[in-house]
Amino acid sequence: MSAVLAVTAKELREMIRDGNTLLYTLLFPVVFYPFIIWGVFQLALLEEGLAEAQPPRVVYEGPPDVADVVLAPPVEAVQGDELAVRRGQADAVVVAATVGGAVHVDIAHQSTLARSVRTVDTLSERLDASRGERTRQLAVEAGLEEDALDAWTLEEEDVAPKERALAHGLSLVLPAMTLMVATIAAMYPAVDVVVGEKERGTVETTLVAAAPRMALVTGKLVAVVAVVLVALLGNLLATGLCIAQGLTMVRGEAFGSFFVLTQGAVAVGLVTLTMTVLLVASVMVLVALPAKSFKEAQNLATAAVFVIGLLAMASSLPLSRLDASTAFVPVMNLGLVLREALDGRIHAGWTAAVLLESAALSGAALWAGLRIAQSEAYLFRGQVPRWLGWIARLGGAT
Amino acid sequence: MIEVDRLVKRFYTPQEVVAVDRVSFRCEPGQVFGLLGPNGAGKTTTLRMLVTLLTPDEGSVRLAGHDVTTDPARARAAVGYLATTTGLYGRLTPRELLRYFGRLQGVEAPDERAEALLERFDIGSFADRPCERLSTGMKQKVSIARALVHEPPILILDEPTNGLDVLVAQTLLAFIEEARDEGRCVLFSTHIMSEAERLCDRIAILHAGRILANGTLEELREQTSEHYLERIFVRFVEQSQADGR
Repeated sequence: MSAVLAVTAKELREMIRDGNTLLYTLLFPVVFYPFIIWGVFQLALLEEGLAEAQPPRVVYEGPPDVADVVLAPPVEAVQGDELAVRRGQADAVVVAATVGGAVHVDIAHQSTLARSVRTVDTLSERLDASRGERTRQLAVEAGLEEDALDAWTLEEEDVAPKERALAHGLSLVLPAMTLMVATIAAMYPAVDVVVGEKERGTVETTLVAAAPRMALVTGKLVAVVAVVLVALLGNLLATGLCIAQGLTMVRGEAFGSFFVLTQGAVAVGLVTLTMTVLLVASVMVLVALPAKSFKEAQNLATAAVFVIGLLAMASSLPLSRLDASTAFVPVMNLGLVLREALDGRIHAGWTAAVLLESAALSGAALWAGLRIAQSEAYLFRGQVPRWLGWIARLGGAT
Repeated sequence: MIEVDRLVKRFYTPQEVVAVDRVSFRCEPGQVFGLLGPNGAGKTTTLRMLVTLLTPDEGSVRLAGHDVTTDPARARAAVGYLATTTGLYGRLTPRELLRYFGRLQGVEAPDERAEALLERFDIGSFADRPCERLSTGMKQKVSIARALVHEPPILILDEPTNGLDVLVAQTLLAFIEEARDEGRCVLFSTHIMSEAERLCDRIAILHAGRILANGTLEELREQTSEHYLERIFVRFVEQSQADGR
């Protein structure tokens, strides 16, 4: 045990002194990624401000009573035709005509311009409201009930608690993102602690030490887990703060009024995150062990990132649920546990199964890594196993 | 004590290459044993089997009474090993490195042991500088100190003066003599004849994976009627080629 701690402490000390590890493993997840989210909110606010500062420019042709609706402030009437919309000189062309007592309104816009799309939304909303008002007016004039001419009336009611809405929205995105951040954060330190020993020529003297190889591999894994866990928790904290700040600005109300996490969800989330980090770190250490150079290890690790990424994204599919069909799909099941915890639905049985399976997979990866570390090929690649040599000679190799 | 008996190692690349072929020798405490041979003779492979980095295909190795195949942990604990490269962790300081290896080797008071080695090898002035910023000579001193951190009865050195300038090499050769005087069993490989002549109590001449001769320098001189080790070496190789081995 003391050898494991010695290796872990040494690896952490080396990581802290390495600029690349600090950059890719700590600085990016804790500062850069949340900064991007903060930037997105700032852009959204900027866009909203711009929209307010730029009134819709509409070319109108039609009866005056419809013009009152279409060109009401802040809409600005401009001259031109469809060409003006194509050129961006106007945001929409509205042509209204009375056909058999009903008013037909034709709106031309350009869907590739955000300002034009916003203008159409504004106009549609106004015209819908005006149509409803006109229909009710006609019904009253005909001596009918106010809504007698409506084919039906529709009223929507969202019974979901207001404070759960954001958590649900985040549950569709955050788990997959978290899995990816953990995987990417684990990649560099895993490659560094494993292949760095070979490239820097320290592996021989280390393996000759009395400490068992199990202690060496485990110590390295624990170091990677520790640094990735710090990076991931830092990332989630910073991301959470950015989202809270951004949404508070956008909505103009306190974050706590529209976001609540139960203690159970927090506990399940923390355990699941720890297990996620253990699994991805084990896989990264395992794929780095057979490599003889940084480049080779990065190639292998990139393939692993791709596979983990696909499984992580599968947990974000709208219809994905944590059940018998998904509970044993590695990585995806961890994403689903996180997703359901965020959404306030915790299935104790499936959650336990997922955590146990992930622990077993991490153990298997560690065991396989140890087997590689104990083999001669770990140190001296270029040789092939004896049985392969026999087959090659049977095939005529000299 | 080192006891090597009919050691064999084959590599498959994919054709079979016998890198070490029935090599046997013994090295006693307080003795320097030189494994002399050109590049590719099998010296490094032999030493790697001794320190458990490679597994022998045949034969046996016992270090301080522990078999490297059946009891590798205890065998390793008996050995201080200097590889062809100094192999220091560049981001650690010599002090941290010695403490770390002390812990890996199971030394009871690793910090105190590290301080003692820093003083013995005069490393104090650069003990807190990252190893990547040390000169070759400084690195070699740290590397030697690391090999001794657990006070092993056996020292195995693989071409220890390779790539060193004359002054640093002299420091290392003086260290080997010192280790012998302390009663350690020292095995080192080299292709530099003068080093073997100066240091070795016994010499084994290794060529193409096989030991052609094994004895004291005087015994080898008597067998070949040659005085200089370089000539002795050539005679054994020529005789081996003439015998078709």
